[in-house]
Amino acid sequence: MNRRSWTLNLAAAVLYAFLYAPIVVVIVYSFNSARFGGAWTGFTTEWYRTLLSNSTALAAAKNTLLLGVFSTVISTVLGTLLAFGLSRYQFPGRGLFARLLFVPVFIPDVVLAVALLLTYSLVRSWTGFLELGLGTMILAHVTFQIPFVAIVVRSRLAGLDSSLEEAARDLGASEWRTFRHVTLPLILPGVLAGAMLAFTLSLDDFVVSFFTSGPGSTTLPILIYSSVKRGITPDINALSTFIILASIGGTVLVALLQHLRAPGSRR
Amino acid sequence: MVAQPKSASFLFSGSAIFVTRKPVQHDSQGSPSRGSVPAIEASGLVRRFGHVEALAHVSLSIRQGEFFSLLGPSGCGKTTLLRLIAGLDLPDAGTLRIGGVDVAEIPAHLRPVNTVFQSYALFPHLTVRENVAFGLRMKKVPPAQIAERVARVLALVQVTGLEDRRPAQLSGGQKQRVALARAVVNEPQVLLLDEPLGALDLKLRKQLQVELHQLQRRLGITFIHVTHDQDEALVMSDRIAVMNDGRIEQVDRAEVIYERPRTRFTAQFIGSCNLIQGRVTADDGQTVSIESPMGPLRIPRPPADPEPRNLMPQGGAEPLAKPRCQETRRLSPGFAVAAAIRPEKIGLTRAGECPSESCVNARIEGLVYSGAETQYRLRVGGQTLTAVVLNAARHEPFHPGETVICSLPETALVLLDD
Repeated sequence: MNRRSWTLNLAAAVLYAFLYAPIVVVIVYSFNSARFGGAWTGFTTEWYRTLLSNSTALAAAKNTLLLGVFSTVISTVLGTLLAFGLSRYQFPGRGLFARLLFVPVFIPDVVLAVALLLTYSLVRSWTGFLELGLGTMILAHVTFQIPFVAIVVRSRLAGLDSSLEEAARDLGASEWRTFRHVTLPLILPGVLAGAMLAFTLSLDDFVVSFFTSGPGSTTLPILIYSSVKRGITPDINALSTFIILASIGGTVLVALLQHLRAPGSRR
Repeated sequence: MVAQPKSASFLFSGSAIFVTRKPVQHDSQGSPSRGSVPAIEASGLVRRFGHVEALAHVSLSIRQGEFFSLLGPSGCGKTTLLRLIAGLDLPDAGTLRIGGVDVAEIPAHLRPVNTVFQSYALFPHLTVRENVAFGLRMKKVPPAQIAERVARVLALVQVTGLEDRRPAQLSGGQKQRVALARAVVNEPQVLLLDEPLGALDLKLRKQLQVELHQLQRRLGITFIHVTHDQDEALVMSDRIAVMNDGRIEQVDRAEVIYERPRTRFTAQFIGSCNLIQGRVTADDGQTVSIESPMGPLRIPRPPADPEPRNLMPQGGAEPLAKPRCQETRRLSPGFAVAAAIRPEKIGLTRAGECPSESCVNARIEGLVYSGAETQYRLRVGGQTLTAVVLNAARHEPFHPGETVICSLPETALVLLDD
């Protein structure tokens, strides 16, 4: 191995240590038997057991899953339709709409969260609906998920040969059946990648959830935040480890789905 | 006793011909009676893309059961015209009838036409069988019938044993056949082919040209075939429309297009052609005499076309093509004209006899030998002509610098419209 690649490898190692050391620390300390402090006192899986018997944590996990699944399903359908409309129909202001799609992606979470909270309380004062809780959280998550889903699906649609859809219409398929039988199956990897991205974002979200949650709708990130205020406990490390694993799983799935080539190009 | 049925069938066939020449007849329900109706009838079709007119007032009538080619260079509007017929694009002006029915309000998926796309556009996520069955599935044909028809059409295009493959696992020629099967299985009134052989190598292309032609004969479906390949159009078509710059230059049978081109564009796009500029000295209605750099030439006007011109729109609103100067106008002396002659129609001999009406001395400037024939570059009266001579060893080959007698037979000369 020559000198140059040796320094490169070292730089890479330092960089990855910088990125992943905190994560590794959390995972390692979730197995530390010491209840307080940073000293390693021995290996234990006790914290995972206490976590599984902790009803608050389980309720928060359930909320997190409900929030993730519902918001992902809604935002995937809406985001896919949005991407389809933007890439397949001509209408005035199309370019502007396509650009506006990126704005929520760049707006700081905390700004979006405040804006959503304000909007919901305004609507509530007029109509009496939108009591803060899991419902408003789902609505809020859908808001920030849609652009991500639409952007991922749109890039997949852009790579789709439009003559395939023309061929379907030529063969007697109406617009809906063309979408159902040709477009959707071909962009499905993009749609699933968008959904996984949306789900992961929902799972990890703290700021927007914190602002739009109500009593009884605590999610895991919110639970961790409020527990940490009372000091970091080992069962929080165990909980964090679960969330890390779920996020890594989601990210890997997104990557796999995005690299799926058009079905049919493989056996 | 023997003569009677004969004359009866003669009468019958005579009246059948008469029927096909009659204008569109509508019955009391207003639907056109089939058989008498052109497969495609376009009049005044215009399609603009921004400031570009892809189709500039195109009118055309295509008969039922005809193998019709739209021939022209890329960007001439031929594919645009095909897309208008398929319903994948809409005209800015003009009307289009398919089988006598105005299709302005009929979307692509309800039109009785199917397309073989240039890129084949086979669905990558479906197998060969599912691809071919797609159109029938959309029409809700019962599954048993779908299976039977798919099998039959795959046998027809000679793709068997590949039913469960995906398009990515097929060769170019196989994809082409599957694309053809996918369209033909729907038994459309009109089959549209957009450069169907463009992506194939020469040998396969030649083979499929013949197969396509035979398939069309067997099915009796009207084929409209878009191509930029003049050989392909000449080999396969009953009639050809030569297109240029969004307009139709000439519509006729292949041999008429080749032998009697009407415009410079047609003359030079199809095959190679010598153009001779000249001025009219006399026109007696049968023959036009011109004075050219090659000396005086006499050019007979073409015989009256045995077929009806097929260029008048239904209702006879306006002529669909500019009038042909060969047929209509007497040309006044001094009028500048151009005449065309194909290189292989020019005769070359050594000193002595003149084999045709007009002969001039020519100097051989260069030659290209290509096996079966030799192409000579000739200098005649300040102009360069190209002549192609079959190497049939009737005489010693000519050499550069040699002076030969170049004969321009009257019947090979064609007066152009522009």
